[in-house]
Amino acid sequence: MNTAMQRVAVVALLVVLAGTSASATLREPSELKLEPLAFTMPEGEELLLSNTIRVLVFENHDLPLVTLSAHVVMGKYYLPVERATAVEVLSRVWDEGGAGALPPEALDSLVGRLGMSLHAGIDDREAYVTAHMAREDLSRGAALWRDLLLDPRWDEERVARAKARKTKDLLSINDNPRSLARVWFWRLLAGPESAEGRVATRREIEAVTRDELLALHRRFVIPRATVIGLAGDITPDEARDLLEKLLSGWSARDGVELPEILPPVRRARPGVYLLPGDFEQCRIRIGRNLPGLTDTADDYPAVMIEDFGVGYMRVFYRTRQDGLSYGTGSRLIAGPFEGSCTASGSTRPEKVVELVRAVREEIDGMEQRPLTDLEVRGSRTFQLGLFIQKLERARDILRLRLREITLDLPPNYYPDLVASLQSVSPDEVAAAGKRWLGFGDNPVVLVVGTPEGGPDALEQLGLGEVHILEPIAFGE
Amino acid sequence: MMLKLRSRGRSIRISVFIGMFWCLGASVSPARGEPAGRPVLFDRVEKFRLDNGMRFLLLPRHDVPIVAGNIMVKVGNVDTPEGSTGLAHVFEHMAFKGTDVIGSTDFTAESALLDSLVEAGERLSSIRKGRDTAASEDSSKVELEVAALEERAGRFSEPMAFPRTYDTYTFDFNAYTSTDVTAYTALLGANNLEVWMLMESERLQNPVFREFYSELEVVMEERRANTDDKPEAGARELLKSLFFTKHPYRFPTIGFMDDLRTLTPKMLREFFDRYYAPGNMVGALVGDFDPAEARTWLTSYFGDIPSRPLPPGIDTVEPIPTSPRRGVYRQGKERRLQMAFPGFGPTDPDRPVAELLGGVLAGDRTRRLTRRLDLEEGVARDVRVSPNGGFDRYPGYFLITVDVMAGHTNEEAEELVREELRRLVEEPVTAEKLDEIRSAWRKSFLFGLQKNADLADLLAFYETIDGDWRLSYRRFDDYDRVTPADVSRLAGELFQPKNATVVYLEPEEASGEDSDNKEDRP
Repeated sequence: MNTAMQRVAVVALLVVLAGTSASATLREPSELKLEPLAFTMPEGEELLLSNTIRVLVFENHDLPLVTLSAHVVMGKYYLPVERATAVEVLSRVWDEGGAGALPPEALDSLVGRLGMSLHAGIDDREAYVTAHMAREDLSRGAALWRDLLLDPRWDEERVARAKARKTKDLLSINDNPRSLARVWFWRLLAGPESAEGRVATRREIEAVTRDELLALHRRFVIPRATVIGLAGDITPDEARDLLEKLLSGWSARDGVELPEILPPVRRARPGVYLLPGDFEQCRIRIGRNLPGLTDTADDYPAVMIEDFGVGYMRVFYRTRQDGLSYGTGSRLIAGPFEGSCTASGSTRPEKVVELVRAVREEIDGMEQRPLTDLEVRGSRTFQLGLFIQKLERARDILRLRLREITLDLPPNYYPDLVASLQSVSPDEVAAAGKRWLGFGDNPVVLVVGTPEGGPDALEQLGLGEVHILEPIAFGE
Repeated sequence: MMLKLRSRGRSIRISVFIGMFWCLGASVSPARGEPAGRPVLFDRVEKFRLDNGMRFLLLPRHDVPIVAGNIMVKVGNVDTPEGSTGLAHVFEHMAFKGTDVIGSTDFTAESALLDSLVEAGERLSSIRKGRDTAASEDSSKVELEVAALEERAGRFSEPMAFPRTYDTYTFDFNAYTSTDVTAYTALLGANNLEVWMLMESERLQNPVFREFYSELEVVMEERRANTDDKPEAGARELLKSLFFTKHPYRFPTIGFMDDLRTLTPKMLREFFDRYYAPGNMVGALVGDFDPAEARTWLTSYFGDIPSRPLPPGIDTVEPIPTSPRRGVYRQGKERRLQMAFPGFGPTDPDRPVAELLGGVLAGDRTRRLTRRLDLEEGVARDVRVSPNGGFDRYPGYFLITVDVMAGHTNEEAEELVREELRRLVEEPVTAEKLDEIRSAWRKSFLFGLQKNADLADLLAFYETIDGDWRLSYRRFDDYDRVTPADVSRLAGELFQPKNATVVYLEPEEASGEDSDNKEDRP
C-alpha cells in the first residue's frame, strides 16, 4: 500500500473533529459535537507472474520491514475427515521440519541470525508460509521462505517430534475445563465424526507417516492453488523481480486438479449434557446449528452487528452485572457452509442454572427487545474497528486480501463488507436477529464440572433428561 | 490481570517490552546526543507535563485515522498491603463503574445509600476477618444488609453506563493490572479523541464505586477461572510464596480468595486517593491527532485534577536466599518445572546482562535450553525464560519454566537445566551468538512499532517505570556493552544451588501417600 495514496483515500472520506468544542466543562460524550468516521479498505496492486501465480502487493514505507506470504488452498476440509489428523501433524512438521538442504537446526540458526520470523501452518481451509523480515535481509530471507514453501525436508526425527507434540496438546485438553467444554461441545453440536467435532487419537497420530505428509504437500502446493502477497517496504516492480527469480523453476503443471472442498456435515445431538469434573467452576455451552447462515449471505453485515451487540452488550454485560460470571458471551457465527448460534461461559457450581437461564433469556428475548440505535452504533463501531486496525500494518491487510482468494470469496469481498457495515440500518440488524438468533426449544446444552445439586439441578432447565457423558482421556 | 471487558479485543502484556528491541539503521536519523539507530518516528514524541504533575507523551502519526490512548498508573499489586491482596486489580474493575454523571440517575439519592454501604461494608469486613466479636453480628445478617443497600442504590443508577458509553465511540477499550502498574487503554477513530479525554478524565476525577459487591463476585469468578482451575497458576502462586519471604511480590495480583472477601468500598477510596495522584500517572497518545489541539484538551480535561503527594514506594528488601527451597504442587495431569533465582531491579547494572543471559537460554529453537531439552532430548514441549520474572519495579526473580513432555519427569528436566546452566560457565556463549541475539531484538523492536496501541503502551510503560520513555530504546546501549565474559560471570554467580527455588507441578494422580501440596522452605 502506498502510504501517500492510503492517506489520500482515507482523508478524502474522513471528516475529523469539525467544530468540536474544547471546553472542559462538558461531562458527557453526548454533549460533544462529533463527526462520523468513514474509511475504505486499500486494494493494493495485483500482479501475475509468468508461472500464472497471482501476487498482491501492499506498499508501506514507514518502517524498513517486509512481509512475504504464500497462501495455499489446503486444509482438512479438502480431505476425508479421517485424514484430518495427518493435516494437523503436517502443520507442525512444515513449520519445524527444515527445508531444502537445510536441516531444521541450520534453518533455525539462519532465521535466528537474520532476526526474521518464518513460519508455516495449516488452517481449516488454507495453508500459509509467511516471512516477516527487515528490508535489508529481503533477498536472504525470501530464499529461505521459498525453500520452506516448496522444498520440504522433514526428516523422520522431526516427524516423530511433531507427533509427540501433537499428543501432548491432546493431553493438555484433559487439564483444562475450558478445552474440555470446547471439544465436547463441538462433538455434540457437529458430531464426533465431523471436521469440527473430531479429535485425533494417539493411535491415529502414531500411524501418520513421513511419506503421507510429503504426498499431501505434493498434492496441494501447486501454482494454481497458491497466491502470494508482499507488504511493507517494497514496490510492485521490486516484488515482481524478486518473485520471478525465486519461483522461476516452479511452473504450472498441466492436468493437476484443484482440490475440491468437501462440505462438512453436522449432526447435532440436542439435549442437556453433563460432563462431571472436579473443578472450582462449571463451564457452560449452549448452541444450535443454523443451516444457511454463511459469510456470503446478503444479511451477513447485519448479522455481524447483531452478533456483537447481543453477545457482548447484552449477554456479557447482563451476566457481569448480576455477578454471575467473569466472561460469558454469545456468538452468532456465519461459517463458510453453515452457521451457529452459541454461548459459552463459566460460573460457580451453585449458579449454573441461573447462568444458563440468564443467557437464554437474553438471547431468546431479543425479538421483543431488539438492539437500540445506540447499541447498533456501538456494535458497528466495534466491527469496523476490526478492519480499520488492520490499516496500521500492511501485513494484516495483506492477509485478509489473500484469504479472499484462497477461500474463494467474491472479488472485493472485504472492501464491500466494510462498506456494507457502514450502511446497514438498525432495521436490517433487527431483521437479521429475528431470522437467525435464538436457541429454540431443543438446543445442545453442555455443563462441565460439578453443578450444585448434580444432574437433578439441570432438570430445572426444563429441557428434558440430563445425559451424563462418559469422560474420554484425550491423547491417552 | 485484565479487565477483559471486550472479550474479543486485543490483549497486552507489558512484559513484551522487556528484553527485546532496538531498531535498524535504515529507518533512523540520530538526533543530537542520541544513539545511532533511534527510530525516526521517536523524533516526534513530545513530553507534556501539567501543573498537577501528570505527564503525557504525544506521538502524532497520520497514516491511519485512529488514535490509541493509554493511561498508566504506577500502582500494582505490589502496593497493596498484606491482607488486602487483589485490591489494585479490583480497583481496575471498579474504574469502569462510572461517575456522578455517567451512570447515575439521581446522584444525591444514590450517594446517600453508597455512604451507608461504606459503613455496612466495614462491619461486614470486620466480621469476615473475625475481628468484630463485640458486635457479635452474624455475617449473614450484615450480608443481607449490604445486598439490600446495593440493590437500593442500584435503583438510582444505570448499570454498565460507563462501558456502554465507551462502546459507542471506541473500537476497543480495556485495562490490565500487573504486579507493578495498572493501565487503561482505548483505541478510537480520530474523530472521537475528545471522547477519550472526557471519559478518562472523568473517571480520574469523579469516580463512583457503585455495584462493588456484585463486581467482587465477578473478580472471584475470574480467580476461579484463571487461577483455581489452572494448575500452572496454582504452581506459580506456590513459587512466589516460596521465593519471596518478605517482599509483597509474594502475593498474587488476582488476590487470595479470603482477602477478596474482606475488601471494602472504603479501602477502595483510600487506595484511589493514595495512588491515583496525577504525578503517579502517565498518559500516552499515538495516532492521527493535532498535538496543539491535544495539549489544549489535555489541559482542559486533566488539568483540574488536584495535585496530591506521590505515594511511597516499597522499602522492603527481599533477603538473598541462603539455601535452596523446593515445593511440589499437585493438580491436573501435566508436569511443569519452575526454577527461580534472585532477579535484578530496573537500575541494577547486571539487569542487561541478565536479559542477554535469558536470551542465550531461550527465545527460539537455537537457544541452549530449548535446543537441549526440546530438540535433542525431547524432554520439553516448551522452555521459557523471563529474566525479570514479570516484576518491573523491584528485584524479582530470574525464572526458567519447562513444560515437560509426557513420559518424562520434572527430575529429568531439572537435571538437564542444571547441566546447561553449568555449561554457561564452562563453555561461554560466543560473541557471534550474542550479536545474533541483539540483532534479533533490534528487529523485533521495529515490528513492535507498527501498531499505535503497542507504541502507546511502550511509551507509557518506560515513562512510568523508569521516568523516561527514551529508555525504551536507550537500553540497547547497555545490551551492546555486554560481553560473553559478563554472561559467564553472571551465570556463575546466579545459578548456584543455594539460590534456587524449584517448584514441580505434578499430576494429581501421581501423588503418593501424602496428597497435599508440599513446600520445603528452610
